[in-house]
Amino acid sequence: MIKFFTRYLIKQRKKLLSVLFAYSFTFLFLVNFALAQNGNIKISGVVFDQDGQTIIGAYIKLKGTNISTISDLQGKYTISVNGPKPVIVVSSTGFFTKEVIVGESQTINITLSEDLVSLSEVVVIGYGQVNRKDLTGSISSVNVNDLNKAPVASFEDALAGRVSGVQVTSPDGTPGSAPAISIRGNNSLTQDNSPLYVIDGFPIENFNSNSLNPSDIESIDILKDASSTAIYGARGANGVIVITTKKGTQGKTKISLRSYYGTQSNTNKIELMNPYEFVRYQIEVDSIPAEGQSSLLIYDIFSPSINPTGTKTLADFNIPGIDWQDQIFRNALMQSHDLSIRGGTKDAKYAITGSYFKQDGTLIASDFQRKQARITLNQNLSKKIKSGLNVNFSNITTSGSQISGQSTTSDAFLISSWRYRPIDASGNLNLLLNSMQDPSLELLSATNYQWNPVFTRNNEVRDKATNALTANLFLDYDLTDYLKLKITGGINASMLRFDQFNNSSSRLGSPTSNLGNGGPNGSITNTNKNNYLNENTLTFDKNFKKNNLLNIVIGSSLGINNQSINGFGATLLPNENLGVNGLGQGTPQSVLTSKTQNSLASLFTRVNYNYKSKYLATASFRADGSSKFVGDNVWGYFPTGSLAYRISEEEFLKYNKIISDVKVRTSYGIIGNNRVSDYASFALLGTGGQNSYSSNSSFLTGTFPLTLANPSLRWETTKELDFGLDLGFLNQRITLVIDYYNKKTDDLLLSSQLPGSSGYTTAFQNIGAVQNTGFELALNTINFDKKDFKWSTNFNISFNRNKILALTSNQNSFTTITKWSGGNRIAASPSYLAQIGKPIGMFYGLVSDGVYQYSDFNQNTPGVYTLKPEVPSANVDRTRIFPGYWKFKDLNADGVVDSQDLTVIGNPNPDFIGGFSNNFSYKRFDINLFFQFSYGSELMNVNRILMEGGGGTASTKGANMFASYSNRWTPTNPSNEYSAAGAGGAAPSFYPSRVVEDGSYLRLKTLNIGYKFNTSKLKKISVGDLRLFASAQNLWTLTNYQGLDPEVNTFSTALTPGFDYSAYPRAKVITFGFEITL
Amino acid sequence: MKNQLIVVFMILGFSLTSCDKFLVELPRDSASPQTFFQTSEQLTSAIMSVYSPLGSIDESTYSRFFQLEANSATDEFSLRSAAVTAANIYNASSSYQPFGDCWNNLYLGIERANFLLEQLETSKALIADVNEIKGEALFLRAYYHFLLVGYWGDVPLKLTTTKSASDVKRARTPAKEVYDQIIKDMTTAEGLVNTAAIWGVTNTGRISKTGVEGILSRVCLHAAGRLKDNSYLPLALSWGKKVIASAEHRLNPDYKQIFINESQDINDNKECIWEVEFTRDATGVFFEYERFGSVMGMENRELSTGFSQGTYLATGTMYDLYAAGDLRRDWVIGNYNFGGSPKSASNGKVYFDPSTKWRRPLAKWRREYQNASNIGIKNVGPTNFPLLRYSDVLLTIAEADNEINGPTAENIEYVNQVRRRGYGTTLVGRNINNLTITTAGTGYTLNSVVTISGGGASKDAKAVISKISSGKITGITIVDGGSNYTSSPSITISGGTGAVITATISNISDCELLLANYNARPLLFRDLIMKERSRELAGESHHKLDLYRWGTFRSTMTAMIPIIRANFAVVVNAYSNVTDRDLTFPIPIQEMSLNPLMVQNTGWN
Repeated sequence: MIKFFTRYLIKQRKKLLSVLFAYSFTFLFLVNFALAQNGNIKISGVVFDQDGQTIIGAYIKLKGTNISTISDLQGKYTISVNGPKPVIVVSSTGFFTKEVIVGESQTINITLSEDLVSLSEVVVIGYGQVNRKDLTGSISSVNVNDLNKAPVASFEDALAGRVSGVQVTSPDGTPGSAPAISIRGNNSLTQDNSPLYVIDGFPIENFNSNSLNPSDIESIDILKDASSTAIYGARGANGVIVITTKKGTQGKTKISLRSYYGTQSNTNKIELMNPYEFVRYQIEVDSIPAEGQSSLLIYDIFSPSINPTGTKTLADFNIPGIDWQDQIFRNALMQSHDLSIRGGTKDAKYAITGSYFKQDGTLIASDFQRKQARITLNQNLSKKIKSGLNVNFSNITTSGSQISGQSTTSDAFLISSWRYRPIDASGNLNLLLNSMQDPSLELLSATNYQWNPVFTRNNEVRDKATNALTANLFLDYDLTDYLKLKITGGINASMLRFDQFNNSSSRLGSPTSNLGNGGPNGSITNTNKNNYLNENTLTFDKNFKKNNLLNIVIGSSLGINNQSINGFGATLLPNENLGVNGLGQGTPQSVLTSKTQNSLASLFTRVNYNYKSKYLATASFRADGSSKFVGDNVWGYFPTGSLAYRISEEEFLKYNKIISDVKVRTSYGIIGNNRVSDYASFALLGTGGQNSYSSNSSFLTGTFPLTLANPSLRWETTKELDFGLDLGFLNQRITLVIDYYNKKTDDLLLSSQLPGSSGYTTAFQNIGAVQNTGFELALNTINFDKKDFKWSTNFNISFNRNKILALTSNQNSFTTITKWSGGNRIAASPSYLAQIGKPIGMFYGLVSDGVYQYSDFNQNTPGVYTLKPEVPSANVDRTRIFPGYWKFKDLNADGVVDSQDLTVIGNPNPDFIGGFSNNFSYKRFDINLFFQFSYGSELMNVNRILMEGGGGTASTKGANMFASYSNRWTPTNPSNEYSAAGAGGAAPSFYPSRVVEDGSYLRLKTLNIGYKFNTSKLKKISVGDLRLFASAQNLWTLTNYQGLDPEVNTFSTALTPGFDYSAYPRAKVITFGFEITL
Repeated sequence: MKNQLIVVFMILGFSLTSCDKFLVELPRDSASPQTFFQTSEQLTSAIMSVYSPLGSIDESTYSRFFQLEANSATDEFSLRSAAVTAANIYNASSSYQPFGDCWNNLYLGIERANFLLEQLETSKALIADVNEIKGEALFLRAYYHFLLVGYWGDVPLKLTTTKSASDVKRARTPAKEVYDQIIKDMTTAEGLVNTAAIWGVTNTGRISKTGVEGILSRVCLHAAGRLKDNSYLPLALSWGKKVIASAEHRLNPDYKQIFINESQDINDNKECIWEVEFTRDATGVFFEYERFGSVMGMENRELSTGFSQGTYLATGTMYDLYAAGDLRRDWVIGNYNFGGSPKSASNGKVYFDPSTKWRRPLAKWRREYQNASNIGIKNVGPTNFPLLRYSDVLLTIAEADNEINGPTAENIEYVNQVRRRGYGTTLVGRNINNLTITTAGTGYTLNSVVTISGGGASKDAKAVISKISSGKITGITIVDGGSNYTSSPSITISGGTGAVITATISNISDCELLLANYNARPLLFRDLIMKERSRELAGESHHKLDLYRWGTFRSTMTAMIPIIRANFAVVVNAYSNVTDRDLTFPIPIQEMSLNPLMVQNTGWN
């Protein structure tokens, strides 16, 4: 049957979609019937909170029966009671549940007290949920209310610093870019360390968080230890983020609208050289002009030997120039609107939400937009059978070409903008602004790859449009009181269309460009991803002998994930104004097709035992089979166990006024990671492209071994031990959660670099072992809880220590290259070291030692400087070292600075990270203040290598530099900080320690100030709630980092953290908005 | 209740047998190595990928690196500026990208050859096809090893495919073993591959039987020099002679036409026994194009007439190697630049005057000859690159024979064949090889027209005034020496008055080497052959490897320093930077850091 169902899903997915929609329609038009209530006595009253405000929608139930009602808009309720000694149970989210014995009076007004940090809070775990007090594992819940106060596109953008043990590093500030989330440190070296997402019960790898509207989120629970994640087996090792979306609520239809508008601005700008300094630098940098090429000629500067007809002097360039940053950065708009309609009866609940989000980038021509809608329906089909449907659709578009990351011949965008000349040789700024390319540069460099950055942005179309659909169905069948069957099925599908177009004014489409293709060109690429999933669970939940609660889950899961890509390109388009729609008129250039698929089959079980919420035990086991592996490696087995003891349930503590909760927990388990490409175990044949050849003047396509087979590839296995302590004081006004963990990951999956002599450059293999140990601490306090003034604080801090325990084939270390440029020699040098006993990604390079000074040289003949014998040379040839050149430490003291002197030059791993959130409310005002911090991490500011005299390339002719470099070494300014002009390219082509900087920061990440209007006055205009708010993101940062933004990670693999290369700076956002509920 | 449970477990439990099937996912978009390699077409496609690294578009092999960067700076030519970091300024390090790309590409070719050879063992294709492909694969594997051992010295000899990702430890094999295996593989290949006749005259891209023989002859000569072991010399001689004996090849009577053909993508395997066939059309669909054509040549900044960076300049030393009447000189080394600033072909040619011997462009391939569809593409083109020419075979056997037997009538004749073609003996006969300014005259300009007439020519010579000093003619340059002169022509010059220019006519015997002059003087003949190789083969990726095998690299470079300093000082670093480490390239840094058994070459840490 399962097989049938899965096949059905695959074969009939179009049909299935229409069925899903039909299903939802039927639900919408179903007339919901309420059970008629007949009783003896009618009780009525009003439900209040401690402040005397009425509570709408409180749930009132006659104990021991199914008779229930909810309070109306005025907080009033009426319920019929019968039987002897009736008791009504009143509950409402966020309040302690209260039981009231019905006495003589038929009017019972009830005051509920607020449950500030609730022990009865429900935590969603894999295939079930438990009360927080009964939890045995380490699970953190995100305060979704606070999270939603940040004006961001996706919940991940606001997650950093919210939860202990979770490190969120966004690569840069590109609108719509996905941050890297690592839970309790990175296990994997080259493979994806992102957690598994479980959205409304559906596990999804590589979840596109942009498809989810943050306002739709009811709860986010982060499963951190093995005991919690092992139920997800092979995919649990990176932690699991469980998200539940808001469902319909019983009662009157509730309509909410939340809107905000705002502006974003660039927080930081780097000062560049002005025209005078630029020309002075250009003249210095070409001390040895090649034939007929000299800056003195280009800038028409008089020189008796090189340019005797020159008419200008350097002083003539004290003129205004163009700061290209002003041309490419802008103040950008942001807006967000979301509307939700929720309601229903006891048996049928629905929620319909829709949202629109638009964020213009602070760099011109970079935008992000999302249109999204969700329908959630829950229907009780009978007393025993419940069903539900949850459909989310989003349309996400991003536009604008890539800012950072790898580039080929030309520099990455920000670098090329910084480098672009501030003045034209003629001094005509308009000409420079309006020309695609600066023609006089041709004289300076044979390969002039520079292009007007404004033209680059405006004429290179890079549009990505994603349509993402998630549709889940479930059926709950209560077989008996204690046995429940749940059948679920779902589809997660996304279609990405990527349009690329380079018109004749762009770097890649201009007929005059070196990098071009002869004329306007473009391509369309479609990527379709489909995940199908069927999961079935049987839950046994029974209380034996009163206090022995046993919960057993057994289940099975089948999933298929596939991806197909197709695309085509064309060049020499005759009508470029048609954009990609005119591709058909051009010369066809490339056709791309690919398809990959993997399948996963699993069986799992979990047993929970709970004795009086005092002694708690959990054990689980999962078997996963994956098509990514072959032979004996297909199946993996993942067991775990955990214990907890709630000491506060013991008699001696139970009635303690100060201590309200003490629990000790421990867990141990084995979890896995299978994040390799679908066919990593197989040898693949490649075809065509540049691997072809010509014979007899005809082009013949080549076929060649593309990848190495690795049939022994297997799961990466993580064994994790966790000790936890939960403490609560003063009726949980102060709570503290402390965890210690020790994770050891074996058989690391690594896309390893291979030596060229193997004939391959990379291959997947299992390699070595990594350990992560750490402490996490989360403290929640309610500092004030008065009627008019409330103040609560959440603080969390995490310390993770990461260490390599073993590498394959007796290796002691290996290096990684971050290839940020095709031609730069430093980009071809090792940038990171992974060494046994050290954290996985350590910066690797030479130790800078300032600049060679005259005192390092002997001057035997006037003007001829020879390095003193005792001074080490940064070149094999000592005569090639001159005063003003970059100097490095000769660690092995052999007199030459070379690859033998490479060492660890910095640690990108922070000592600790965390967040600090404060909520204040005073009368109708509320303020949320959220700080995020990271301490002790270092960053590699590669921009400084390129923009402070250059490096790794021979020449920086024609390129502007950072203004700081004006203070470089000259014979009259013996700086020890910056080398002389032209010395950069002569320095050894390794990363210098001088650009490794302290990346610690404290950032006021989110500030939200709101005002809530008086509810009673609003009622007159039929408005339930109205709150006005102002919210800001990235307002203030305390850091010593010289780059644009310390929150940066341009090459976001575990091996290469903390790399800053042409990163899109994060914007400061200020928005104003309102929330209204009808 | 019981029944319900049974149903539930039926739903939950799925049979493991069907599950195993469910969990098998074979690649859906890639052919399987187990089922490919079965038809002649599939084998051809596979061997194409083995050839492909010869012209890799990362420019690290024959697209640019080997013929220009790896092959300079020497006494032949250099970059025009030394203010960069490059292999040919001798200031690059082991992290210099082209070293790594070149190394990786050569081993990529070796791996592909090994892979194909292993697959051929189970191929069901026609045995004749299998054997032919096997021959090509064996040859290419050997050729890539030959390049590796030439530039890096001892290198890992790799004769089987890489078996797994942990199969990365490869120690360096002594050069002798590498050379011996190359010779062994090529010898096997020689018996398997098609003859040039079967490939057809227009197929120069694939290796033929005579191609293998010619390269074997070269390999043996290199082995003899690099290993200092003369026992390889007879092999060099005998393999080379097989090429001659086949009678499948001959010299193209017109030296410059060889290279014009290559620019025009015209293939002729009579002279060019083996070439890298490059292809490029305007749309760039084909990923098989070269870059060297736009890097060298006369600088031309104009796209429509064939953009060229003109980055490489021949030395005056090289210019002086050519005697008067050697037509190869003005083809290998350009005798003009384009005019204007920036220099553009549409501004016309500006000829060098004969006294300017330095800063002339290396111009063996000229983009102006490219077809219309290619000329406008800025950086890349379809110019074929010769890997083995017939004249190289002649010079190789002459050299080997001289080392064994000393100068003989036979081996001198091989060199004379090359020289006769170089001097145009059969193509143009007697021609004007020198113009002497007897009287400078007055009132002339650079636009004064030189008219050469008479002398019994079948085609009149052409010359231009190339230097003027206050109206006096101080330089005149021969543009075309004319054909079949019998006596001195008369020369008139428009414009000014009084100038007297006299022409010298070549003799048919000018190029002939006489045994009498070399008899029993093998060292003198060896020196002649060394120079003849430069004259004939400059820019064809031979010279530095020749200097290595002759053991004269260091002395040549040292001798050049004062000459360069006096004549072309801006590039003196390219000569003074040379140390003993430059007798090899560095092992690329990636290889050093990833192959635990690799040891760096001396001086390259």
